[in-house]
This record gives sequence, structure tokens and C-alpha cells, in this order.
Amino acid sequence: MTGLRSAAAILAKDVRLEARRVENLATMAIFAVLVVVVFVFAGDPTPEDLSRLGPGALWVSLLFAGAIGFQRWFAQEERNGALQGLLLTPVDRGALFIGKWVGATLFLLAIEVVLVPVASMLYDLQLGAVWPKLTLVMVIVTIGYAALGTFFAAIAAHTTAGQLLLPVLLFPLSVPILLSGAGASQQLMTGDGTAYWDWVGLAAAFDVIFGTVCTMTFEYVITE
Amino acid sequence: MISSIKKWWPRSWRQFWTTLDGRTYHVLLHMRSWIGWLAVGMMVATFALVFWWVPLESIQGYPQKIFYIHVPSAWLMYSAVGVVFVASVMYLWQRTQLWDIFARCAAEIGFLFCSLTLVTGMLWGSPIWGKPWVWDARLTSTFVLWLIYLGYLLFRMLARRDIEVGRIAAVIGIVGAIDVPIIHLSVQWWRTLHPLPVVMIANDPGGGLPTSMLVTLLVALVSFSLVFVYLLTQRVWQERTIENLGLLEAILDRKAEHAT
Repeated sequence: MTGLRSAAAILAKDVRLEARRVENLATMAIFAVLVVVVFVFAGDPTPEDLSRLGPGALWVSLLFAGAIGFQRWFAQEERNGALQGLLLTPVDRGALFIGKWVGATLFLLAIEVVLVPVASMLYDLQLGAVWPKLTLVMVIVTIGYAALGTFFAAIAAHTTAGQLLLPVLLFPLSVPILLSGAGASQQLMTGDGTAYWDWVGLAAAFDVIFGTVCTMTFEYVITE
Repeated sequence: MISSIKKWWPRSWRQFWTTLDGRTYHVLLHMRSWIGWLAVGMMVATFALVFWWVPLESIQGYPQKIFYIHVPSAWLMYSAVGVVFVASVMYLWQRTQLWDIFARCAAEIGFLFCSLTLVTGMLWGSPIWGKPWVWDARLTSTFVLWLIYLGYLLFRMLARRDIEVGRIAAVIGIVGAIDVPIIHLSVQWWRTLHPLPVVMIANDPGGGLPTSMLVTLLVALVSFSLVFVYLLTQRVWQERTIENLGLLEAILDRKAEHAT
């Protein structure tokens, strides 16, 4: 229980920091929207192409936003020796990870709240009836992606090329979660929703497996 | 013989686990040259079988022969994932340097075989599919595995010198190895749910493989595995020697300091 309480304290600290510098999150949301816009320039899409490409563009933009975000949200601990301070407290490393993980999930979800409506308008996606299911898959995928992202941001911080290495490590390992997200939303958009629950199940299994593995092994990553 | 077995035989379970790295290393080191020569012999036998004995495949003809290099490479790139996983877990548990070296060398050799699988696959694909690359499930998951190996090795190269590289690399090895089957599954689903209009050839082994081809494949698998073990022991020995030389150098430096 003390573990959960310390995780909550770390989460509260992170949320307070982001709330005081809300322009950071706003800039990241704008970046995510820009990726979606630039995606259109990659070809000369017809209206059909747009609604077919839409979900994919959404997930790619989220992948990029995450890669930038995880780095930032972890790097703020490196400043002024904040990480050393955290490590000196008698807090379980797993609780530390859970706090950072939940925070990263919430921030990514905040970006999605801006991104999804704009993208659905730009790509003419019909979200009318499917939005509860789309929300579900977005939340599940974001949880899993944030787990791996937070974990590998801590790892990449140990290298001389931190910002460069994070996507190189993170993207290949995130393939299952990206495919689940893209697959499930494709199923929702193109009407035939038979495989939707398979993809959601895969994403949920991914969350459970990597949530557990990352929480358990975080102490090896973070110890100085 | 008896005395050397006695030397390696553990006195308790605790000792068994804490000295497993050393004993594995010694056994492999002593057998190294044997494994090497056996690998050479088996390799010659494999190529003899491939080019003189096994009949030509009726549809594909000569390009099909690359199958006997391609499949063993693929098998070894997955085996190397297993070696990296086991060595990483053992390193975090026992913290003996040798497990770290095992994990690193297995990853290097796994990367080598993964590249070999991709290259031979593309060479095979060019005449059969008409193009070197299609986004088939197996090709995609092999490519992702290649990227994971690359990330792991890049981390080892780029890690800051003031941290314990082996510990974090072990964690990456464990997370990566757990992810490999999940990636495999997800990519398979992705391809079957969205089939591409590709001229796919049934290159699946198993099924209706004639006996002569199966025998040749098995011989190739054994000889490639021997090459893998040989390369691994050679690399581990090399790394170990570098480490020992470093120690020796430090000792000599200190002695020289005392002398002056």
C-alpha cells in the first residue's frame, strides 16, 4: 500500500509540473496534429484514400508524439539531480516506475483528446457510432505504449545519444501495440468489426505482460 | 578425464548455480577446436549434399538450393534470442561477468545470422517472386527482429562509460526476447487480416517435403548450429582474453609505479 501511495505522490508531482507548464503539452499536441497534416502531403489522396489512411496516420502521429514526450517526461528528473533525490527516498523502484508510467499515459491521452477530433475531421472519419470502442482501444494501446516508452526513456538516458537511441529501441518493440491499435481502428472504420476484439485482447495482453516485466525490472535500469 | 570431471562437478546446488558460467565456459573452451573441425566437416558434407545429391526442385530449379542456407540461418537467429535471454537472466541473478559476455556475443552472432536470413531471403525472392521484398508476415517479423538486435548492439556501443552496461543490456535482452513471440503473432494477424495481392509461393517447409530434401535440411541445420556454437565460444574466449589482458596491464602498471 505504501508503494501505491508513493506512486500516487510521484504522479501528483508530475501532473502538477505539467499543469504549470501547460504550453509544453499544447506544443506536443500541435506537433501531433502537424504529423497528421504532413501525412496528407505524402500522396495525392482521394476521399476514399483519406478514410483508409486516417487511422494509420493517427497512430503514426501518436508514436512520434510519444517518442518525444517520454524523453521529456523522463529528462525532467535528470535536471538538478532530481533523480538522485528520488533514488535516495526509501521508495520501491517499481512504485517509482508506476508513478511515471501512469503520468506518461495521462499526458499522452491528453494529447489524443486534441488529436483525434482534429484528425477525424481532416480525414473525414465517421466516428459517430464507434467512438466508445475507439476510446477503449486508444486507452489500452496508450497504456502499453507508455509502459515501454517510460522504461526505454530511462534506459536511453544512460547513453551518449539519448534522444537518438530511444526511437531505435522503442519502435521495433512497440510493433505489436501499434498493429493492434491500427488493426482495431481499421476494423471500426471499414465497418467489418469481426476482428476488433482480437486486437483489443492482444493489446490488453501486451499491457499486462510489459507492465509487469517493466515494473519488476525497473530497479536494474535506474540504480546508479 | 576423471580428474577434470571431478574439478567441474559441483558439491552443492548453490555451487552448481554460482559456477555454472565457469563450467560451461571451460567445457566449451576445451571442446572448441573439436567443434570447429566438426563444423568444417559438416559444412563440406552439407554443400556436397546440396549440390550433388539432393534432386533439383521441379518448379523453382536452382534458386531453391538457397533454402538450405536460409532456413538454418533463420533457426539460429531465433536460437540466439534464446541464448541472449537465458544469459541475461543468469547475469542479473548471478552477476558474474561471463554471462554478460555470453549475452553480448550471442547477440552479435544472432545479428549476423539475422542479416544472413534477410539477405538469402531477398536473393531467393528476386527470381521467385520477381522482387526481393514483399510485406509478408515472416519477412516483416524477421526485419523487426533485425532492428531489435541492432538496437541492443547500438545501446552497448553508445552506453555511457560510467554505468554498468551489462545490467541494463540484460534488461533490454529480456524485454526484447519476451517481445519477439508477441511481434511474431501480431504481424501474422496483421498479414492474414489484410492479405496483399502477392504472388506467393508455398515456401513452407514441413508439409510435403520429400525425404531427400528433409535429410539435407537436417544436416544443414546441424552444421550451421555447430558453426554457431563455434563462433560463440571463439568470441567469448576473445572477450575473456581482452579482459584478462586489461587486468594484467593494470597489475603491471601498478608494479611499475611501485618500482620507480
